[in-house]
Amino acid sequence: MGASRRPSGGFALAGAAWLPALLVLLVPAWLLLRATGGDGTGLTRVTAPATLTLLVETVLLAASVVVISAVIACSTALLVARTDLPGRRIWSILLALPLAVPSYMGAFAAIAAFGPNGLLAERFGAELPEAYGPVGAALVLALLAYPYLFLPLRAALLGVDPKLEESARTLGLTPIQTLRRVTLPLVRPALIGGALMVALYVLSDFGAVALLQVDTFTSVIYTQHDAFDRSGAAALALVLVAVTGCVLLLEGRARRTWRGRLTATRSTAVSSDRLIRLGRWRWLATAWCSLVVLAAVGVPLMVTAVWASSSGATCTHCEPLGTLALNSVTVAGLTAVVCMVLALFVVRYATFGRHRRRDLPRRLLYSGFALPGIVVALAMVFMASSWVPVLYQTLPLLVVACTLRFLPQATDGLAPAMAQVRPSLEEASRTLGHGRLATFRRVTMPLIRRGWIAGGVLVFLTTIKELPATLVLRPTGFETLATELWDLSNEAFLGAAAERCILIVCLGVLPMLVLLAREVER
Amino acid sequence: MRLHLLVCTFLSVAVGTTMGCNKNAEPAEGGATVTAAAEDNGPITVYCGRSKSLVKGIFDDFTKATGIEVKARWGKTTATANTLLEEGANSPADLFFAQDAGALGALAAKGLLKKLPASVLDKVDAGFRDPAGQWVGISGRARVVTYNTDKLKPADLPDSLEGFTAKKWKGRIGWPPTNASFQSFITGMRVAKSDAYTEFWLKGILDNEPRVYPKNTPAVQGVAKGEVDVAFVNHYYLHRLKKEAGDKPFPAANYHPRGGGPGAMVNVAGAGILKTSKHSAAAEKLLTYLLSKPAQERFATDNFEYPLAEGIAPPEGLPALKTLKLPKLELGKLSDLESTLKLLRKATVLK
Repeated sequence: MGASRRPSGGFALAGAAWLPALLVLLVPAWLLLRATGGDGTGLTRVTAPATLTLLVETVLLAASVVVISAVIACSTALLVARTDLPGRRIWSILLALPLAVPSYMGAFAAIAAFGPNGLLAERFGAELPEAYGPVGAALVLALLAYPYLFLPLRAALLGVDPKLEESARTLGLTPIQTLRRVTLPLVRPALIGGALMVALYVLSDFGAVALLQVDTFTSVIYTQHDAFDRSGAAALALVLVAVTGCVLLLEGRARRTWRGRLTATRSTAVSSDRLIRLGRWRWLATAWCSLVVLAAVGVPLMVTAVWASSSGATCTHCEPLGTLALNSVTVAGLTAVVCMVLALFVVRYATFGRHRRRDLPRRLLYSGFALPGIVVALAMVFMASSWVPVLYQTLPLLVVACTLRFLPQATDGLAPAMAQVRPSLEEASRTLGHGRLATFRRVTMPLIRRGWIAGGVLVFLTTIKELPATLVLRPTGFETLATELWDLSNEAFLGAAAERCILIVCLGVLPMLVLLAREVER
Repeated sequence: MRLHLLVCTFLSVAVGTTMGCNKNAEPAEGGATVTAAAEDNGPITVYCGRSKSLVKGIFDDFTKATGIEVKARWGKTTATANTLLEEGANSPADLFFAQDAGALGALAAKGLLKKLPASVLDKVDAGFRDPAGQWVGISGRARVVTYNTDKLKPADLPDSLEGFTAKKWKGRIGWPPTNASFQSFITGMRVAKSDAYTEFWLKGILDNEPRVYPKNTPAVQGVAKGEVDVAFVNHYYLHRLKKEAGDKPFPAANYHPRGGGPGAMVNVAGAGILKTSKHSAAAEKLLTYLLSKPAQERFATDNFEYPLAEGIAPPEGLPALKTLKLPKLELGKLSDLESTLKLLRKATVLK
């Protein structure tokens, strides 16, 4: 019965935690094989001057997206969590919606809406600059990715024990000082974790950067594949893996330098008399939130709706929308469930250990999130077709690929919740005679449920949007909303494409609404 | 420590196995010609880099006519070709239908395609198929200059693409340099002229600050919207967008450079049969069907593409292939995209 006193878990836990990490590591192993293959010129790309330029451009883009996202996320999270902003519960939901918008949709909309001949100029006569270029890309990506910061930040703000801030106030600190010296250190882990996800989102994004004509590692890797320069593409992808490693090191260092002590108090509701009163500023605050939601969700939906209503060529070869939606939900649902189960092991293993290396599997998984989808997909093609041909081009393999890409979103949702589970709490339950399962169900689960489900929802809606891996790995004849949208958008079927695009957003929004609505009720 | 060891062992085993498998990845030589077994009724798996909306109807007609089931995987041509390269000897594919001759060339270079019988190859002019007989062109796509008809008349346009390096075209040109057809066209220019000529031309166009589009459709839309006056694209995007626009005005038209040259080249969408195919006779039937009159006419009427089988008329309103001044070049050599990419990077067209 040593296990009950040693919460580090058994061999099974270690195995389950390492399994996905080792699978992800096969991708860089395959990259190494490809980079050194061919005529052997691939690795020279690593040291080419063009790669350095690309590195600078990619890092600059990622950094600026993080900064812009942080401004949007911090301001809006403070508004909904700490002020008497009118309708702040509704805003909590609305401000999370951009997660459901695929990046190609956001970028397409920005291109169509802006510019001297854009839809906005046509409707309102406003002379707006074009969306192309690094500035446009940074803004579009920030508007799509800021919820990765907004959601954890809002949760952290709501989780801060109000008594701490109150004490600070009674000791004579001004509200601003309290924010800076008490609240900020408490939410810093959420801030750092969110910034990491935003940065990795930018590194792996293809849709927006390609459409907005900005070069990043990912877009150039796609170009290399298009030219059948497999060794060059692999070499660049290896550099991207190294960049991801550096970002993770930075994040780890930031966490250690500013280690916050997250209080275990669970969402003691901040009573309304403790809220900051906005007074006449509330209209400005409402305008700011409206602007963010309108730009991030309103414009893409509006542009897509315009296309959907334009007659266009009728699609005679299309699958029924119901079948497509069902297929999309099947892949996304299965991936979400698999990710949630694996995340339990990975996070559990990382949380209940003294050694930092127990956190290694969780951190290794981020490389799957940062790599372009096509790289993960082609690695799976090679490995599955030669080692497990039975699985090749089947639904399970597609789910595995999506899991490797999106698992970090599930672990990110779960990790802060799991950190609140004190081993002593579980030990007490075990001492009182509950079995391991009963303890998990009755003690652990209630504490982690919210973050756990939130992570699963995030995986669900990212998988619904996923295109490159689905296109390469899906079973023959199996079409999803995203694959057919891709097919239609290549040809002159904008109307039918727009319908599928809107359905993707709706399917992503639904579980998010259910989740957030429940949370807001509390 | 134990964990570190575990990871290292796992990785070395993984890499070792990967390398080992790769040695077997080259499919066995053999079956120089496809011998048709009359009773081969498929089903056949087709990796299709062409859009579903373009060819699904044709596959359905083939199934109706022959009873052979076609399992189609739709995808991007280059991603599909990369998939086939990764699959190697383990590919479940029978036939690859590509958007571009370059992708077929890349597969042929790796020895993944079978030599096709003369009965198939002879249906198509020698200029539109692989000289080694490993793939055959199905339909043709002409390079054109799409121009805004509100701003320009054909007489305003230069005889060949060289004319667009003149100063008066500054800020008026659009192009999609990351697009596969565009890169094929640049490869065509390299093959028909030379690397030095191509680099000189690219720099001349770059000096005129061309507007970069992600692909052909937005470039043609850009011409109609007046963002640019001309764009270097394939011919059929204009016809599709005009059909989509219906009664709404779409002020754009195509110009086939009257002086010929690389700017007037015709690339092909084509197909080849994989050496790993277990139903190559059925796949060959599909290939024959794609070159038959009903299928070829559908490429012309539905997709505005040039039929390549001898004796079938081009789409309405398009000049006949024979009247175009085609550059002399072997489409098989368009697989050398690698050098094109290097050149595009050297000329700073691509990063």
